Amino acid sequence: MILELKNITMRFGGVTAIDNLSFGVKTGEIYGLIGPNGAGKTTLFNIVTRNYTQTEGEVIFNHEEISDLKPDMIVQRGIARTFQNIRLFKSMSVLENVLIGFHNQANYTYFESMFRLPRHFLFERKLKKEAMEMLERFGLVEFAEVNATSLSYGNQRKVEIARALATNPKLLLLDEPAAGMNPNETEDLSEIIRRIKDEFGLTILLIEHDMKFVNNMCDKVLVLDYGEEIFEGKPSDAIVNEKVIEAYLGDFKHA
Amino acid sequence: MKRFAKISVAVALVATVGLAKEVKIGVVLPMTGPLAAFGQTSKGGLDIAYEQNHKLKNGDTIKLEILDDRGDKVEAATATKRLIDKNKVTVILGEVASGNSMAMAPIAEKSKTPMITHASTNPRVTKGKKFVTRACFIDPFQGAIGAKYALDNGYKTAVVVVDAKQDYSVGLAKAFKKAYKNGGGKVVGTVLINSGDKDFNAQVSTIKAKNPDIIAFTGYYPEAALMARQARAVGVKAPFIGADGVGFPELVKIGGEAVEGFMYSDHFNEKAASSDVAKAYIEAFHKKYNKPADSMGALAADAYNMILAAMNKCIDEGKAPTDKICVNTNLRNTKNFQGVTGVISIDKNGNAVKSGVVNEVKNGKFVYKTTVNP
Amino acid sequence: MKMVKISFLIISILFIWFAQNYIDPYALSILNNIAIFAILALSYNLINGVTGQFSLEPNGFVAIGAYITALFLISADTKVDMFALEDPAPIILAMSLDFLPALLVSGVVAAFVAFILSVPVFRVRGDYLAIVTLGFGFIIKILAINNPKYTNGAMGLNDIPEFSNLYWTGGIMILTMLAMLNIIYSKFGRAMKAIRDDEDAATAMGINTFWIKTYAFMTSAFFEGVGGGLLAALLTTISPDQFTFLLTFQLLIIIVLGGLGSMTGTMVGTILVIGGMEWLRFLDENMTIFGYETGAHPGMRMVVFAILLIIMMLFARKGIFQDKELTEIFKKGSK
Repeated sequence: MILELKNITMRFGGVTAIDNLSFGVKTGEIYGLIGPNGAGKTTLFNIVTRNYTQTEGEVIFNHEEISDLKPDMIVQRGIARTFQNIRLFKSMSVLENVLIGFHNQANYTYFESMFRLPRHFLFERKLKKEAMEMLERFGLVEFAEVNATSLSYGNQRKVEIARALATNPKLLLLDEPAAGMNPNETEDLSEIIRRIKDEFGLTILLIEHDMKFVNNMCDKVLVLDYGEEIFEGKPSDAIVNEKVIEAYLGDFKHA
Repeated sequence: MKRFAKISVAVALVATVGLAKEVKIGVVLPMTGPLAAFGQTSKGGLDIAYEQNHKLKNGDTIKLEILDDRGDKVEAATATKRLIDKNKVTVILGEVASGNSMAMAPIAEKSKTPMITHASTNPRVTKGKKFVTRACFIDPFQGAIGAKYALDNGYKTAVVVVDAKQDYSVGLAKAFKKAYKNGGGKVVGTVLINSGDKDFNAQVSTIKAKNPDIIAFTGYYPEAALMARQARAVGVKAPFIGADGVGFPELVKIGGEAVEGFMYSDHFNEKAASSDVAKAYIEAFHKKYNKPADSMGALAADAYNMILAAMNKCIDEGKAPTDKICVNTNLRNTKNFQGVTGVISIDKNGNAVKSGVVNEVKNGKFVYKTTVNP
Repeated sequence: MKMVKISFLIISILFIWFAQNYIDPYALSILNNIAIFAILALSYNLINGVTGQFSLEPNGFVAIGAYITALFLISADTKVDMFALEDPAPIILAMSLDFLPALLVSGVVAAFVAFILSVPVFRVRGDYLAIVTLGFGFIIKILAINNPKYTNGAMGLNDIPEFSNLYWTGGIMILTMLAMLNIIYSKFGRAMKAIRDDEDAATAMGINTFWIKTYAFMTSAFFEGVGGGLLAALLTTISPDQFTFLLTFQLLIIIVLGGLGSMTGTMVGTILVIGGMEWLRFLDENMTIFGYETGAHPGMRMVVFAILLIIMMLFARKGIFQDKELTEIFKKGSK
């Protein structure tokens, strides 16, 4: 188990967003979080990334309780994420966005940059090389100097994933990666995710509504409704489960 | 040969007359910005003086080049350099605030251009400088006027009110205390205020407790008026004495009954003016602006006329009125100059030795009490 | 690229040497003013424009730098003579350093104070930065007024030795520009921009936003302190009333006009604002237009200046250079 959530409860004032939830993700798995809108999926993400502190319960990553860590610290532990609404840095180019992902691997100090000492050049060269290699993997080299938000939606998503990958994670959290994509783009995306999982030895935790995508990609799913678990198991079993169907009435994107 | 000589002389005469030159005086004033009121009143007096006379003995015309410095030090310095280097003025007149004058003084000094300030009272403006003069007396003197007047009238104990934010007030307070103590008076307390404050209850209670014979107020009129009201309201009966910073009509408008008997020293009071020069100025002032003549304008007029006197003296000495060294020497050596604000002599430090007046508020009007001589 | 940087440096150095020795004092003083304001504006741009943290700090740090440098430069005898309200404290009399060390100390002290401010402000969301720095500016001014033993209170300091010349101001301006560009074109500059664009996403990528903001803030403070010292040694006199919000406001105009986040823009903005205000002086004087005399109207200069600013901002809403440096303007897909 690379990631374990034990007895997580999240209360915001009088509202219980997540109620005594426990689950675990095996190393190398692609694990999906699904459920109707408002079920608590993104809240769970935020608890893993430490943007929220759970009211009760433990978060264990790589056998380490990470609840006391700040969000920027967990990146160094090996957790990276993308966002539901693609949050690229809009004033920067594609290359610069990806370079941000490499931030912690550039081992030079502020002074060394201000005074242009050798270590600055050493690591900048190294980083740029690795960033370009990353872009190559995603077929984005031609867009390196272009402003990131001027790309097509599908390509922007790729940039965001590339950026997250640059942090050298062990666990990648994808929040609705296929949102707003047409079937072709979704197909493309599935392929990329599978490829990087193998190439980088990742574990993937994702949130999705697109059941075809989920069916295709996920080894296991956890179905949430009103902050509670209503099913855990194979995607193919999930879609025929009574409780799941009931929760999703009207919310399903049919397979 | 004779004919040639006649023609040459004629040509030379015509040439000199035709060549009646412009002599430029550079003026730096805060015409806009937080000190604009002082800049505008200065210009008011300057304009009167200019209208009265802008020709020199040799027929040359005076040209005033006025630059606005927005009350800002950096601008004051730049404006001075512009006037000296670009406009090639012979003399610099300005500024009002001592801080700004102090930014200008080194520049005048370095370029050996005479500078005269009409209203800056901080001693350091002229200290150690050979090219800076002033037409007004310095703060130590004004503080001494107040102290002397207070002691002469039997006020033996005083509380001094200081506006900590204004260097004018702080300098004046120090001078008053020194002169007062030297004259045998006793300063029983010092009270601090901030310009802009409206509530002085704490300070007024302290004054009441100390029960002085007189209250020496070294700040400006808005706070003076408010403090007087609040003091009277709690039963403080001691009279107030202040300096030129309180001598504005608003003192009475805001202070009302409470400022009756408020005394203050000033550079000038048009009622006290007895000389012909003063009378002519006041008449022209009334005619043009239809309001009483103020000190700031009168001082500016005096500075201007002192410059003209110095220039004319140069002409008498056979030198050009644009000879900066000559003009400076004559300015610094001004003796017994009859100005609007009194008889002015410049001492070896470049400061004006002249009389001050003490006015008092009586029946809502500023009434002249006496002249105090150095 | 390197050739461009080197030739820029050589041309600047030659220009400075020429100007310092051959042009008239008036034009020289404008260049000195531009250089000092450029130093202040470039560093202000780092925290405000590049890192996107709305701060109102400059007048406070400039004051700190000006006072510290002035106190190091003025001789003990002059201090004894000058301090009119209270005798100078022994430590004040002991303070004596050469120009460069004095400037460095000014910068370091300012940076240290910035650090003290950052700790409470940046650990929560930086939204309070504006209010804290606004208050900070007031506090510094009040401290200067209320401690005459150390600062000569409201009377200020004068007879500061005039060390500043174009070699110093222009030289330090070039160094400041280089330092800023070096920071921007490094992982730290990228991180600052990331924080500006989307702080949460930046955190999610492992950036410690507290430290990046603090670095930016401390750097700004350092150069603002140095700039303050240069200003003191140029004007030869300083007083508390010089360091008000109006100074910060002037810098704000410069960086917004030039384009928040662009150092090129800030440089251009400084020339336009500081140089422009002097150039517009003719509007205060009497003019003859088509034979018609307008008469002298002091203040007209500022009215026209304000109108020009409004027009410029209407046509270039994000500033002249927006957030791009000169070389980036020509890149593809720029917004």
